[in-house]
Amino acid sequence: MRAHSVPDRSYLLLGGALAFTLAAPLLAPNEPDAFSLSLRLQGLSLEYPLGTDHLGRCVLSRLLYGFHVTPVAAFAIVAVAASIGSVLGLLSGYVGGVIDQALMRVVEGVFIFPAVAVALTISAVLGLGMGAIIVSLGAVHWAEYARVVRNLTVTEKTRTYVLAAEALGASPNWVAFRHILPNVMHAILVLIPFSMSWAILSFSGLSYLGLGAEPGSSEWGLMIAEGRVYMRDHAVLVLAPGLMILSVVIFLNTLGDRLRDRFA
Amino acid sequence: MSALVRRLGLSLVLLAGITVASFALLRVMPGDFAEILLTQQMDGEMPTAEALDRFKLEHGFEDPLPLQYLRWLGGAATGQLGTSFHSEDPVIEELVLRIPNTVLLAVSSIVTSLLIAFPLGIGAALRPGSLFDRAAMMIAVVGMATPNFWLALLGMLLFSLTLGWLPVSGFGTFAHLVLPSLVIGTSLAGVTARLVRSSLLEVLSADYIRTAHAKGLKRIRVALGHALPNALVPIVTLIGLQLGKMFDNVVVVEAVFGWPGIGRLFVEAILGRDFPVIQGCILVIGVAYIVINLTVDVAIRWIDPRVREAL
Amino acid sequence: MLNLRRLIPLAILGLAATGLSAAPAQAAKDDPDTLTVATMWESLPLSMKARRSRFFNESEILDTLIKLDYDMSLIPGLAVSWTRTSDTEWSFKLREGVVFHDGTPLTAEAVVFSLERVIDLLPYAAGLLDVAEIKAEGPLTVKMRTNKPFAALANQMTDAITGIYAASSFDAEGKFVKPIGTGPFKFVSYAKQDRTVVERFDGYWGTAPALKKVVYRYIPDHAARTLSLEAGEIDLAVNIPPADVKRLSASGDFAVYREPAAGLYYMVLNVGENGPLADVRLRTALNLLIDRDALVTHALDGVGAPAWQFFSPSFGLVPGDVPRYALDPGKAEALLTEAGYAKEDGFWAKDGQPLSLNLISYSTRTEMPLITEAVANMLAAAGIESSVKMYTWPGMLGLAKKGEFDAYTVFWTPEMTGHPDLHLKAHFHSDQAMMFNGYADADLDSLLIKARGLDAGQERDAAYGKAMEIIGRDAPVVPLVHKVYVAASHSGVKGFRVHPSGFFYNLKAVSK
Repeated sequence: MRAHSVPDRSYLLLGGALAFTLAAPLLAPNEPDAFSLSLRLQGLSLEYPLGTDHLGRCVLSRLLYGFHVTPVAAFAIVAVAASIGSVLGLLSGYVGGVIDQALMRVVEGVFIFPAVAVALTISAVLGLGMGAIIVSLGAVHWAEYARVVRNLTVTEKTRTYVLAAEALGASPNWVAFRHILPNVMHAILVLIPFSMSWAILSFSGLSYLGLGAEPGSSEWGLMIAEGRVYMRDHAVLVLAPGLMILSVVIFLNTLGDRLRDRFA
Repeated sequence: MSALVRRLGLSLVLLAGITVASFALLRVMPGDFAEILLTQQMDGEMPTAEALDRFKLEHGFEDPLPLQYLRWLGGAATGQLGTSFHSEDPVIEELVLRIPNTVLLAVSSIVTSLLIAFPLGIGAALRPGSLFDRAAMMIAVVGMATPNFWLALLGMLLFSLTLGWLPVSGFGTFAHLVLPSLVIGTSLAGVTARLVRSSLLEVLSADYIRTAHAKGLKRIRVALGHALPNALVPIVTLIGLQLGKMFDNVVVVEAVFGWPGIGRLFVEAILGRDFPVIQGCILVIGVAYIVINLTVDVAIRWIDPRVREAL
Repeated sequence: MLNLRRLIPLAILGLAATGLSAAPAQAAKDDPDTLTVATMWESLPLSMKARRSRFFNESEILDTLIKLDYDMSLIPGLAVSWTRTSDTEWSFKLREGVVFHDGTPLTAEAVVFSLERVIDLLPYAAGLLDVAEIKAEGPLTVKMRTNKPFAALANQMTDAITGIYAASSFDAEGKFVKPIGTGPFKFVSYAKQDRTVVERFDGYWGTAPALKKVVYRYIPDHAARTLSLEAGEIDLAVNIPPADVKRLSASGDFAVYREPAAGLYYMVLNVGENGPLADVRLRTALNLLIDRDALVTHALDGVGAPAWQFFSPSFGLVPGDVPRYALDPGKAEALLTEAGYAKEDGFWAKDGQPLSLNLISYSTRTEMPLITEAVANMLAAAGIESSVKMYTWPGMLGLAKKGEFDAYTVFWTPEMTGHPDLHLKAHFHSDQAMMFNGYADADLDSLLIKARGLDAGQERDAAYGKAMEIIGRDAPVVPLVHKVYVAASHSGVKGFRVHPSGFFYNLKAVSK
């Protein structure tokens, strides 16, 4: 299987990025929530390399701790989407027939729907907050996974190893999850970086509007929203978190391109 | 023909789903809708239990849900969507005021994105691997990865405050439209430029293009005259998809620039817990999305002779 | 086959046909006859609603019988004099020779008609004035009789909601159409969510305005208001974010106006049984823990005055010796301990349950997020957790009405009509209880009712002094900051002055 045969630089890159994301808060020079109103809106200094925000919190530390907010939220969104999508895709492709027809019509509908609008609607009912937004964004993003997994499943299920397993009397669940799923995994993997990019941009956008992360969080979009009032005199408050989002998304997209080139 | 009919059928099912969802919104929202309505009518005074019961009976809140839904649907079809909790104006009035503004922004953003994407994509495809190609694709990558709201702020700082060329925010003149369209246009242009490039490259390598070459046509005329129209189908499909998802961009950018459109109305309604307006926005967004996708379907069939013949 | 070269011009044509005018963006500054004002609230000249946000605009179109001066004292408006003839009776003598924008003369009959219409249409106005009867006596005398002894009526008659409308403001069925008044400016047009335009009224009874036209632009985004001023798109902006004050002041191109105003930022505490703040010791502790000086100097860049008591001492509306809170973390800790809380890992908890407050507010007013977040941080530093959520004003109010909060921060103008009754009665009297925090106290109720019947003097001061003591003792609110109202214009604008009510712009005195 091709999926198992390419331990290349992409994985190194991914591993490095994961390690950095996990370790980012360790690099923070200060407590991210430690506030001191008398030290607010300080310029760049050794103690506060990127200065302080409107509550006197260290901007760099908040940016670094932000690695455990924005990308983690995005990952949660993608995890929700990928698991719903993969299960439904497997089901649709493996069972086929009317269920497949119906599910794929739903996918067609959901796929092209403005996801943020749906997420906002769901969170309007669930109430404001990060959890609501994660669930809602995840719940509208699954269609992409369902479609890809379903299409691959349809081809995989005619392969000899599947037919053999079935002939040996394996249960449909067993075949779907133990035989087919590992073989469509690479397609799911390719989708994840792009989904993450999308989720980061959407989630930080909603936080910017006051509909995502709650006040006090070091979410990057929220940091931009808070810094905006001071933008003219303290541009770093807006520039730094924006560059953070930009670079993470570029990284993810590049990673996605590489993975796609490998697997496609 | 049957494909189109199937699409129509699917759209109808979707429409029904959207109306049910928006109807359901007022039933699942926190708090008793009837009580909120009555409190509003009584100018903020809390109604008594008896008054509330009477109100519910008189206004059909005790009827079976399907009946209530049909009645609501009839109202919605004739523009009766209730009144905003906040402005106390009819919801339909709030919507009608903003729809043209959002349509304007959406169309202008798409046009802007094409004006950016085509020169980049065509230029890149004509000389693949050149410096221009790499620069253009770099621009595309950055464009796709830049958060809209951030780009909007940077644009404001540069074009409005430092250079003084464009107004900061608001609505009314052509100048007000430029920054918001540029922001959305840039974020859409990345994908389009990449697609223009790859579709062109694919078509340029095809047989009949090589024949055209043999006839001594200049490369650029080949690209524009023969290759581009053939590359158009995937591009139009993409534009359709972008239009359908346009709301995701509009919602953020309208808020940043104070653009009085559906997106800002929707966000304000959610933060203000103005449920009748939320409901109205969902209906508008849902219907717009169905119409856009049907239109795109038809457009693609019209552009692509192979699909047209299949109809 | 479709030709792309035909497609692009088509799209551009379509865009141009959508009716956008290509007018230049920065016309505002250069037109000496028109003043463009950016406001945080939308003016709503065509709606007859008890919404204060509309008054800044209408107070220039309509006149009230009595007006509030810049020191919050009463000065003549359409009435040249007024007297309280008995406990419940008042007499107002009208100005001679005043005409409405439609040319009809201002008479006692017209005043009676207008006030009766407004009371009819607006339950809020009826509650505010509490009148049993209004009648004309002769051409220029209006008599009013209140339901109960009510000393503050003259003050209430400065409330813009009592502005006098010409009969032609209403249609044949008595429905409100548009404001036609006696003010210095006449209503011209209104575009929802965008702007309201008024023009000079040449028949105005007072000094004619210098400006020919005023455009009120609705720019709810705080940062955008200042930015628009800096970009030269508007002449005057109100409610400037504190962060912008320093920069605008430092630049020679702008004039910044800042004056103590009657507004108060405060935190309403839910005293209802289910919440932790049902315990008065906790509410008092909160009052002792929040450093108002730090709030002002840091969260608000010095734009404001620390509020250790409910009414600002600047306006002397209640006797000066009312109790004041002071910063006293030690006493606060003692109170928390007494209430059964103990510090675990730096945070207060009781029976294993951490003390955590559900704190809500709204981002539609410039300073609310700054104040709320600073308060939450101060509480966290003192060991009290809170979760903060931001809504719009109506969104937060909806939750407040349902009691879904432990605390909310809010801004209100307690002395809007220059009399303590308006705010105390509406917010602390158990009948109205507009704070929705479940607070009620029988003694306070009767003191407030008694005080509103008394004319200025020792007896009234004693009653209000006692009322303020009860409020201080029960601590249903945490006063935070007394407002300093900020507006800014480019330096060409002359004659603007901040009115302490925050609701009157008095643009008739402005020129540019």
